Amino acid sequence: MAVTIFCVGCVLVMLGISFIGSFYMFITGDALSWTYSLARLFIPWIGLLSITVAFRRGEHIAMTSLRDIFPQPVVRTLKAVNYVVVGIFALLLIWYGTDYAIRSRDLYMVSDQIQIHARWVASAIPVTGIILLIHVLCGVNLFDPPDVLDDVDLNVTREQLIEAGLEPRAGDSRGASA
Amino acid sequence: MTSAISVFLVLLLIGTPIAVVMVMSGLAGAMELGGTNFLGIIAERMFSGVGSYLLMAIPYFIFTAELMNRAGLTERLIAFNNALLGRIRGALSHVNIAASLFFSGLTGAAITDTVALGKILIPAMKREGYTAEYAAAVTACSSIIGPIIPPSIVMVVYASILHNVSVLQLFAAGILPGLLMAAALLVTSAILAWRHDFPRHGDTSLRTAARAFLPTLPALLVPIIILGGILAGLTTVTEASAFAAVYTIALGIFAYRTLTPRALWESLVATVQFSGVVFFLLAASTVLGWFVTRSGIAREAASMIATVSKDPIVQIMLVNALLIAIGMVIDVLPALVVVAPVLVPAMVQLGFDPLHFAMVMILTLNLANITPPVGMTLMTATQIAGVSYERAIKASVPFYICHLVVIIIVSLWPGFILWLPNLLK
Repeated sequence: MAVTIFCVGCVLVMLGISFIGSFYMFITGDALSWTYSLARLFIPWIGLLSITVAFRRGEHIAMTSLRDIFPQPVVRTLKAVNYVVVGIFALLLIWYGTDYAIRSRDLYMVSDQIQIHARWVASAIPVTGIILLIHVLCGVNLFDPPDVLDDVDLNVTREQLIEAGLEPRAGDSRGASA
Repeated sequence: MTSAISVFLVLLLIGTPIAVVMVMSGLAGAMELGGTNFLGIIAERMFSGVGSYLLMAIPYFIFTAELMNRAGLTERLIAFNNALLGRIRGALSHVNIAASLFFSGLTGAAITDTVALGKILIPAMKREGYTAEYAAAVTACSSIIGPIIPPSIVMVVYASILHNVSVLQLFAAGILPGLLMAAALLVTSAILAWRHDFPRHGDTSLRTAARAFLPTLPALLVPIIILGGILAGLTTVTEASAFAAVYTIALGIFAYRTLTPRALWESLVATVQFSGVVFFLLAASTVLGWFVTRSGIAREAASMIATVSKDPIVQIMLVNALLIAIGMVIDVLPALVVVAPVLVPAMVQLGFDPLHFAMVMILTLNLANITPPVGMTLMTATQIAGVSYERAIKASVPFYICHLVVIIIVSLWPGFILWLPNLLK
């Protein structure tokens, strides 16, 4: 949940900055250079951390049709293999991501005064690896994707049908005819 | 190359997430080229894969779609299209297709369209005597216009992984094929309505039509903000998508007064979740792409296609058949990020226009939404309709054929795709 809240915050801040930049340019015709540089800092964090959110929810895409035709013991074994593969992937992210972040030398120039070291942005890689590894070690259900309709309320109210013109309003005689 | 292909196939078949499959097979290939020294590309490539300025547009577009969905726009779009097409035989079938066309200018995701329109229109169609399988088929088959008419997340992803066409060119190139898809579906729907004697609604007065149109108007400004701004050169794709998201929030709160804090929060969470899926595929594609570029697979693919035939028509049809086959087992986005780095350079090497082939590829892979056995969009529609998947597949055949005809037309007639982008140059 903490990662989701962090990502939601990043999306809102990035959207706010992008909008200010676009609106300013639309009104004045001049660009606010800091908005572009500042908003860019957020995208690797959103991009990488949101991966863990999707994973946690089982929303990653996998080809499970073949796996699921096997008997249960085989399916369980294949799931265990998948946990190991994702664990290795997370470890690679932590190891090489840390190395990449430490070796980063670039500076993000937000303005003449404000410069942000690329290390802060590149740290998103090992942090993503750590969160993913925690999910794997905690045995989170990574491999049974939720149904698309799980979070959808399929109940349609009469008001919605009236709004859609599919039910007559009070006093309206229009209806379907063959 | 052998180890990369082996790792790819084994992991794919045992149900490993496709993004992880791409990373692991890319790393296996990299190790084959330069040993463990090349394993470090995982960090560098994945970071660059999600670091581009253009990619900010992805969460913004998803957010706009989620907001539209929760702000009660769907009902207004249906009412407007019902006022326009209600008097024609097979009214709700046509309304379904036309509403999808309007929806595609707002969201660009087939599954969003299917859920939003399907949950209202499918039960309504069943009540009017349409079979459940027909209602599911027309809903799913029309919703795949979404990724073709801009804004389109698939197109943003394509432009991010292959830098030979801009997202602006793709957006412009998608308009005519999208309209052609809608026209073809409407014709098919009209023929089926006539054959099966589907019901129609009573005549609509001009006043009723206007009353249905006015509440829809503010929402219809969203595609104008996005497309108008981009195509007129006033904004970049990212700026336009940010504008659209903020405008939609304002619309939901002040104009429609339907956007509650809870709906806003749910939209943001859904945005993060779906962005995660897209970004994972993008980041992973850069690792596999690194290996594909260095391994010469694209060159080999080009020579393999050329060996089969020297005729460009046969070549593109062959590739289309391959893409449909891939779409039978893999969803649109992962299929795109896996095959595009191999096929696009190969086809460009064979002399195909990059923009023409990009659109043909997107259109063909887009069919994966409704192609069994995966066909996620059709499967979702069948769940809403409460009908078996097999019956819905059968009912979708006429619409599937009309999508195939559109693909054949755009494959053989590059000018149809290139006309609008060339006009805007």
